[in-house]
Amino acid sequence: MIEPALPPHEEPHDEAQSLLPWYLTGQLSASERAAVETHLTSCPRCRADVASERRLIAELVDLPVEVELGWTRLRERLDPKPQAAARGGARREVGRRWRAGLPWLGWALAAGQIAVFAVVGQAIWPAAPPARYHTLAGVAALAAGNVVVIFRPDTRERELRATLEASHARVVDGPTAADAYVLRVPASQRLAALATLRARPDITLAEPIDAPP
Amino acid sequence: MSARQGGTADRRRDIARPAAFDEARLIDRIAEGDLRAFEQLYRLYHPRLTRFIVNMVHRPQITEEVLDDTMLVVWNRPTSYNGASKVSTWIFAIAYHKALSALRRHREPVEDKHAETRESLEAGPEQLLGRRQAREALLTAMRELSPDHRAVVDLTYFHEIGYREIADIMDCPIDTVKTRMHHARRHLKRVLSGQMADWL
Repeated sequence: MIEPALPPHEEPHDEAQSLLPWYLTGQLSASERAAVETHLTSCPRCRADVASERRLIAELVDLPVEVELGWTRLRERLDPKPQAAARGGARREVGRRWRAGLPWLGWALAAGQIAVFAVVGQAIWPAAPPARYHTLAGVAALAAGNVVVIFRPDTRERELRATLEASHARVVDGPTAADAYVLRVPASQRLAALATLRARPDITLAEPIDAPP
Repeated sequence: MSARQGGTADRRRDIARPAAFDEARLIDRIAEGDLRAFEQLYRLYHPRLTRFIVNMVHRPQITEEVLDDTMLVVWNRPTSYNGASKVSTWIFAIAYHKALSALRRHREPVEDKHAETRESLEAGPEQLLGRRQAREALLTAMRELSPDHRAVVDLTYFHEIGYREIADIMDCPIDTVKTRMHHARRHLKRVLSGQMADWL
């Protein structure tokens, strides 16, 4: 479909309206920004649009994109067999292409998983099957995890990210069947990272899964 | 007058933007087969690309496929980055075209044939029990937009990319970007005017 074009911006009002989204995100050139600001001083309608659009942006930015992903993961647990059959082909193909370029990757990932599973055991992974495929995210598992955490179920992505940053941690595996994540924190900061993690309100469990450095 | 809204901009930057980084240098190292450089780039872009692709395709299974296909292009063909644009423009452009291809493979309509005529949601005030419902209305309104319109909204508001760069990413004229943004904003505001008046 060819979209109907906007009328030419002959009026400062139309020009300001078309630039408003990028004015509000600070993405205009100095001359464009100056033109918009000049117009705003004399246009109550555009000033009102600025105010309402800022609130719209705040809400859009805050919309939880993880809802869809989370629901799909849960849906797969509720009805795993048909979903697994449908997914297998595409994921195996991606995994095949990836491993074809990195023949040692599969062995490295497998070794890392064995080490983690041996330490933590069934308390954290009561029913976790061995991975049937590896996507690109599996590259992260090359660095072995040394801490396992469980986030509160209602933790939002922003909070999760803040917690990871505060503890200088990277996610190297998860979520497992028990919703646990394996993290890698710098060995020299392991104790401090554990203390930080345990103090976070969004963490319900934080335990080391390797020997102290 | 400040163009930015402090809290929101800060939050968005924290989520969306990696630290200042010489991404072009990473691409050079990837061209030399440096896996660690690729891992670094993958980690930098995973959150941003995931959000962008999810918003475009609205199908988690496709999101994973598109994300992997995008990064495989970066790994397999790093020399196709010619340095004329930002690295982010190149990667988002790959993701955008991969997402369109995936949608076509899955027989999803890419363009919005009803952008001009769609009515706002019909829910009345009695259906609005609070902010949660209002946000669900906003999510629904976003879903009603075409992938192209959602891409412009997301690249603009969340990723804070200018309209010229968005035109490069989407390989379309600048006026098309502005037109898509105009229609998307109008639709969202139409929904908001009925759905969120009590708190917006």
